[in-house]
Amino acid sequence: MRVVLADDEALLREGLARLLMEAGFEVSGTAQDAPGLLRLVEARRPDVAITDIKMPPSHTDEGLIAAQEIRRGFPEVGVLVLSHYLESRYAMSLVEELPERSGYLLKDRVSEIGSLTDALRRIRDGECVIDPTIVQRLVGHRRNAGPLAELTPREREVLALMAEGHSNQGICEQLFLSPKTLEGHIGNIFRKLDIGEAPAYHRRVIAVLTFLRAGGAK
Amino acid sequence: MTRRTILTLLPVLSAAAITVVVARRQPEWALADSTGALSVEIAAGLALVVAGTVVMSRGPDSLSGPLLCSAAAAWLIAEWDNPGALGGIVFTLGIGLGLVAAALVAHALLVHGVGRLGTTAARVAIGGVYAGLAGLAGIGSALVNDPGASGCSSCPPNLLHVADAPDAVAWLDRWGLRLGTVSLMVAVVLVIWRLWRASPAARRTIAPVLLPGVVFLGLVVVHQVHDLRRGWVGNDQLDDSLRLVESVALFAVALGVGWQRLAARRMRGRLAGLVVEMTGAVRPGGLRNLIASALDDPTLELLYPFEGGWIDPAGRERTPPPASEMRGVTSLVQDEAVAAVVIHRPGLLDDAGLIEELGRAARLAIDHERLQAQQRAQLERLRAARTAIVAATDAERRRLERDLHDGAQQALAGLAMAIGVARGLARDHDAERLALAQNHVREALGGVRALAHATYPAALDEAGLAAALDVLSDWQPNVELGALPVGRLDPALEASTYFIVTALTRTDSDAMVDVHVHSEQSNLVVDVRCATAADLTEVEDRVGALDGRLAVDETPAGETHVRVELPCV
Repeated sequence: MRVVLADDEALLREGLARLLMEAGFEVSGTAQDAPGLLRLVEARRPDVAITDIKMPPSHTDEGLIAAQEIRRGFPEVGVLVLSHYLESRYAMSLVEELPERSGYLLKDRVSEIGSLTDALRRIRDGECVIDPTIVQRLVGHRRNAGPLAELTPREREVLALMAEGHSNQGICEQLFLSPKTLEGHIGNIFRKLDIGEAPAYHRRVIAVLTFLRAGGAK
Repeated sequence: MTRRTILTLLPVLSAAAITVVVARRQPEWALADSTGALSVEIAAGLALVVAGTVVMSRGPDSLSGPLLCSAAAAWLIAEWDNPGALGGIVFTLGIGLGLVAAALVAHALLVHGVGRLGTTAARVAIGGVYAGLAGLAGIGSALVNDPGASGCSSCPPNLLHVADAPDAVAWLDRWGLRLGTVSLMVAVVLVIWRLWRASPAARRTIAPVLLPGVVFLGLVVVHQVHDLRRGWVGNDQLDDSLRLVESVALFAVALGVGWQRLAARRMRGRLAGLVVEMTGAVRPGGLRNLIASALDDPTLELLYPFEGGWIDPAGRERTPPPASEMRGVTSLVQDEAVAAVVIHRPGLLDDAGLIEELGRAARLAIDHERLQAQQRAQLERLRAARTAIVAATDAERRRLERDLHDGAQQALAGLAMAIGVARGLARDHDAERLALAQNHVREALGGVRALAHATYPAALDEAGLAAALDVLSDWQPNVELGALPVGRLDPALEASTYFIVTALTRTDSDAMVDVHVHSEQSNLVVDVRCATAADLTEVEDRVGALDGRLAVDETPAGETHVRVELPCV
């Protein structure tokens, strides 16, 4: 699996590149700003592009903008945004338009190579991955109104884990459920959120998006 | 009556008494040829001295008061050039100063209201009048005139007489009259020129004195031309008639001074009335309108001194324009300090008396408004300082947040990553220790993240107040958000409103805090209701910096309700 990555901080950039290579990924190139990242994506067409949010020259949200441009311009390239910001606003603005093949993780995750590589693979497979910390905050937030109000607490737990990017198997392990029971919950979630027939990964993405919309940024 | 007034009036009253006696003793030699004419003459003299006293009481600097008083005396003394004079002193004064009244009146008219002779032409003209009428034809002629020798056996002795030279007397009288008359004509032109040049408001003030003055001087000119043809000052029928009309004109001058005084008092009364009114509800600029209408100049402006510069009545800093043909700039001085400057139509305040009158009449109001303006300017300066402090605080918060993000957070993330790599390579016990270290680093990252957010939330600049408050409620679950403003506001206003809300919602308890922010007319209104009162120090500073209002009360439910109103820029 091929990735490119952009971060203005050299230590993080090079460290992450080494980490990923050791984990068996092919790092096709690194960049230190958004224009560099866009050039890399155009030239190398990686499976996933990893980017920081705040980069030179303006240090605002050029990484996020670049991620959105990549999603629009290269639909087959996934994006993973790594950030220090625990704000559902950023995650939301990333996935709102094109939720497939996109993810938002806190930079803390670089210390757990397992969850990072797992997220990268899910994004390549078309899913939408949101950092568990953000998801937990959204779950804990009282504003679980709208379509989510109809979900049972257990269904909401399942949906939150789906948003975090867990596979069915992972969810079963975490919640001590049989695969069959989980299938039932997931089916109920799709039905209650009015998500029609579609490929499985696609339905999951829509469910996550609904979750983000209802609980997160307005 | 002051001592000075009595000292001024007494000599003139005495002179009037002497004049009556002299004219009665030798009526055929008197200039006033009848009791009626004499009455008019005496009345003119007395009225003029009263007018002079009034002018003097308005300001000791004014030269025209003493000049008018002297002219009054000189007018009466002219009758003493009479064989019936009570003695040598009276007679000598009569022949020496008999003609000087016209010179004094001309001088008074040219300095009246301005305090001095403004131009060289005026100085030369007045000098010529004095030299001719008091010098050559007066004292000069008296020095060589022996009335006894020239046929007046009943005349009292001339005390000035040093030699007897009838030809010299005739020569001095003729040339004195010529010089005096020509100079007087110039003086008349100058008085008319002064009237012509004055602004309408100033003209209204000085015309009642200057117009009869011009008539008087004109009559004196005619009179002297008549005498010149004869060669000496006499008292034929025409002389006596002219003398009578001159007396009437002089009386009118005195009346003019009185009228001027009344008009000034009326204006002061108007100003005083409005000053009383203004103490009730003071509006900045109220005094300006008042003075503008009193002086009939709608473009008039008032500025007050403030810390080396100038401010308008609203307390805004201003720079007075340089005096030019377009704008006149006049300082109002009180107690040797400039209390205000008046910017007005050129020429409006050329009359020193008018400025004095204005300063006197509006003194209280000017003091009052100046203090108000200075207070406003000080408040404005204080507010600007607070604004600067708050802006600096916010800039510093932004900088700190960026430093935390780019520094500590990045470094900790790098550290977490390095530990992750090491952990992958380590075995058993080491791996456990590294896992522990990794947890600590992650905790530290969480702590720094919370600190960075509290320092300055990224959402505030990027997405605005509503988004930032929304994120705040993610961090502080006890914050219950109600209505929030739609769209972006001024960045400084957004930042201040945000930090006002964080200050008000920073409570120790878990009790819910209700936050509503909405626009109301041109204000942004923040309503916060909570069970416990928050510390309001930071809120007060920020509200003050934005010129807003803060109100704290208690709801019927016993909650504290804080309402903040901030003007939208």
